[in-house]
Amino acid sequence: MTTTSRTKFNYSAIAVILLIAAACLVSCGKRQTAGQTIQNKGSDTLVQVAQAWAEQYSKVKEGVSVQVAGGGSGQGVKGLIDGTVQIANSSRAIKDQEREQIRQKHGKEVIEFIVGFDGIAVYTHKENPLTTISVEELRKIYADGGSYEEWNQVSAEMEGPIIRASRNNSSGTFVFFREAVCGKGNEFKKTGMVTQSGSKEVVDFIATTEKAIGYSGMGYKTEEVNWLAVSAAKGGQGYEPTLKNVQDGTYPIARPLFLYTVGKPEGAAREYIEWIVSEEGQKIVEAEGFVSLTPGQMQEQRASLD
Amino acid sequence: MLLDRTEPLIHALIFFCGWSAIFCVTAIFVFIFKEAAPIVPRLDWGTFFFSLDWNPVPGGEEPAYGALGLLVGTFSVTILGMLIAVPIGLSAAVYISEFAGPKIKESFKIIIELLAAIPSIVWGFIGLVVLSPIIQKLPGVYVGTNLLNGAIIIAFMAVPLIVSISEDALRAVPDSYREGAMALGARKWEIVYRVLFPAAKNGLLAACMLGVGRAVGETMAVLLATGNANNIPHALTDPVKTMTATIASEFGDAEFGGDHYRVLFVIGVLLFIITCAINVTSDIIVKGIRKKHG
Repeated sequence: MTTTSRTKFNYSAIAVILLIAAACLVSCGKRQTAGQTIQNKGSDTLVQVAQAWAEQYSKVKEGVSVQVAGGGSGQGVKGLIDGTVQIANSSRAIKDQEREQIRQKHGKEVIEFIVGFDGIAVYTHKENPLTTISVEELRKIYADGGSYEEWNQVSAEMEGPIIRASRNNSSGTFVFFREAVCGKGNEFKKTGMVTQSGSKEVVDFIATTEKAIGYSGMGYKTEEVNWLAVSAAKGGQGYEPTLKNVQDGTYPIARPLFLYTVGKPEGAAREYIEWIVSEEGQKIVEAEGFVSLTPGQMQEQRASLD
Repeated sequence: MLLDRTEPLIHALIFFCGWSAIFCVTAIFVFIFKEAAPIVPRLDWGTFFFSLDWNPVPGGEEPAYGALGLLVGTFSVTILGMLIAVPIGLSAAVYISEFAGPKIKESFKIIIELLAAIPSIVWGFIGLVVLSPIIQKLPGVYVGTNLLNGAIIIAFMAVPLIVSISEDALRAVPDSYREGAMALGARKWEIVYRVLFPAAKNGLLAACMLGVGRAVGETMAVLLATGNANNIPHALTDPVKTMTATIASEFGDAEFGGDHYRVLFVIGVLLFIITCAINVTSDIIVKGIRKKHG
């Protein structure tokens, strides 16, 4: 009994070792044939799109491999300054100071590409008569020190407490909405916000809670909830979070998503960015829940390659 | 012959199993404490225990780790849950052990064991999907996932535990006690109240304590049923956020080895200490009672 089981064990061990060795050989072989590697780093918001791009691109273009890393927009730009990264992903515009650093260190200008948009919708229950809200009113509802606690403070025809839905404090949506609504460096209200663990959960919660207001990706709209048109100032023109309004920048709680390079990209990096701002690359942006560029915007971005 | 040879082997196996339990508990404690330790000297404990400002990912301020809301959340759900579960559990145990006929007794016991086997995530869903709309119909209630919802779900989960342990305790009381009381002319209710309860005190107390332990440590059900709003509840129907739900929802995104990660482990250590304290106190009480009677 013991001897047979021991021999069996040996065989399987050998098999496992052979398999690992084979896998190593295959992967090493692949790496050797890959002619060029593009280092791509930055925003955590963008990291999933960036990975999807890299994966799809490896099928389209053989011999080029894209190494994607997250870490935050700042990390990506830092990589550009240090020269360890060819393409930085960023969910914020590059700072003047960072631009200057790159100019001094590399003697080249930073080139900016807009590769998509991220829009956050403000949702309410379908029985809620409100159709438009201003960023300032949202600040009074959400920001630390804001005075709005009851719906009648927003509109005289409404009543009851405002039930604020929010996301986990480490989600990108939470951080973006906080900055867009409360202003940079400000905090949300410290207590009483009902936390939901996902984008869909926020919408589900609002669908069943009449007095609720909440924020979530614009792709999560259902029949059960309204989304509000948002105006920059009270009484101003409100814009709904539609594809068009996000693309032309009139919807206030949206941001463009950027790629940055040092000087005009050349060779593989150039071809990669050209592919990202093409229809095929933009399809991936939409599949990952973001807003893609209009055909005109694609043209514009491609033009900044030349 | 065979027995002689296998005896030491089995002895060793059982010995190993017994000690492995102790080893595991120690290892778990060492692990969570080791992960929490680096922040312990730096953490502002005044804020931790007495502030509602739980803001680990701030917009501009310094990160704040005020866990008062989470502590109050856990304790309020536990206390309210036990206020519901203990009377129901004890009454059910009395009914099963003293009043029910043998057929009903058997089927009830099976059903209660089934209840105990329902996974906590399922209870959470029941809270979210079934209980929440019902609670929302109450006047003045806007959020269906709240303290009351969490407490009812916790009570549902604790009742089977309380019933089966207290039923065992009641059954362990010798029949001579019942017969003696009956001979003195006691009614059935008087027997339960005056004779069985004092005699089975230890077991009943242990049952309730285990229920409390279960409630404090429950994670998935309260995560779904309590609404997760960091505040001090002013009404039974206010949403609350518990310690366990905070760990579950924030741990995955907290930077490995960062302050937020360590503070979540501090909460874990605190939970560990609370459940240990509950078990030790119940042990002391039970032993004290035993001494008095012995």
